[in-house]
Amino acid sequence: MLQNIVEKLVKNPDLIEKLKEGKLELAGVSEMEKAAVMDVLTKDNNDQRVNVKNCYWQ
Amino acid sequence: MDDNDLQEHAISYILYKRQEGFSFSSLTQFHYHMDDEEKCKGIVHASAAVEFLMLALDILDDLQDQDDKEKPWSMNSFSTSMNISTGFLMLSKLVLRQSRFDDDLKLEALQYVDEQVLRAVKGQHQDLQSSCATEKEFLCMMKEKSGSLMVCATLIGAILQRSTQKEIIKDYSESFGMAAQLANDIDGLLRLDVKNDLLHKQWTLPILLLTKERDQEADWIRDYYAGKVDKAFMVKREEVLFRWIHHSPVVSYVKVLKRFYQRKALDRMLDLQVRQEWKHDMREYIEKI
Repeated sequence: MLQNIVEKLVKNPDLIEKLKEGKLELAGVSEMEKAAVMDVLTKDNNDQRVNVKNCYWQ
Repeated sequence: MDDNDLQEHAISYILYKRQEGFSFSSLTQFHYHMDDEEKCKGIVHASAAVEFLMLALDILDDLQDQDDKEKPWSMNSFSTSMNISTGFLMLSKLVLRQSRFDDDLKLEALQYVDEQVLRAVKGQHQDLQSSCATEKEFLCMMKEKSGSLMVCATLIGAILQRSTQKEIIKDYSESFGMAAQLANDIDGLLRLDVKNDLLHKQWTLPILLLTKERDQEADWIRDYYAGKVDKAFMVKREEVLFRWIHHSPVVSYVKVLKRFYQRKALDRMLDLQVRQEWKHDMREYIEKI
């Protein structure tokens, strides 16, 4: 359930905005899970902006 | 361990471990000083015992995984490093037994070491067999493998101070250990270098979840783990793979799981009857991973 919710939010960033504004309810998850989702998905994800050209598997 | 050559190797391992970020022994001392900030030589010895134990287990873990050739114990022969690890395990118990605490406290602490390390062995066995096939199985394994070691470090400090709050400490330490393991698995997947977990066919929760996705990149990962394609195939596609992984909802989900266990640890820690300053500092430990 939690994974499905996270997937929907990640694929629909406008839903994250609604979540931030308190206009979206997350059904079927505990308060602690909701808080964890908010903590991760509503913060500025600087670490997502990785330059994959820096990868070196050789 | 008074053979010169043996000591030289052992010291190099200790010095290498010292430069790592996370310190179990500082957690031991921190929990000892929960109610009493007075300096005590005994806890320095006890926390050294914890550090010997964790180093021994770390060495064994790396030898079992065979995925990090840069550590000093990976550069020496397998047999040499296994032998030194055995020495550290015994030193850990010897140092704890010789520390300046009442015998009943030391006995209790040693019992916890035995119990928690045996839990960690069980978890490690499941990890080594790559037998976890579901998220639930992975989380159970992490609780045994990593939660137990965090419990070991914190409870030793608490026991030696005759803490009456061991149940609370055990609870949040387990959650903290799980959060730390999830953080490690996220880092292992996202790192851009040759130590990447995917490249080494490590079996972790985020990798399990990636194999369940339906994209072409998930097919590649499944084929790689099944031996149908080789490393060269993956290296050729590294940029595409990394881009896919970094944007995958799976990564966000595992970060949410990690955060959930951090919050669980913080929530339970706040049940402790201790001074606010201590709680503030413990919060920093938990938030830092």
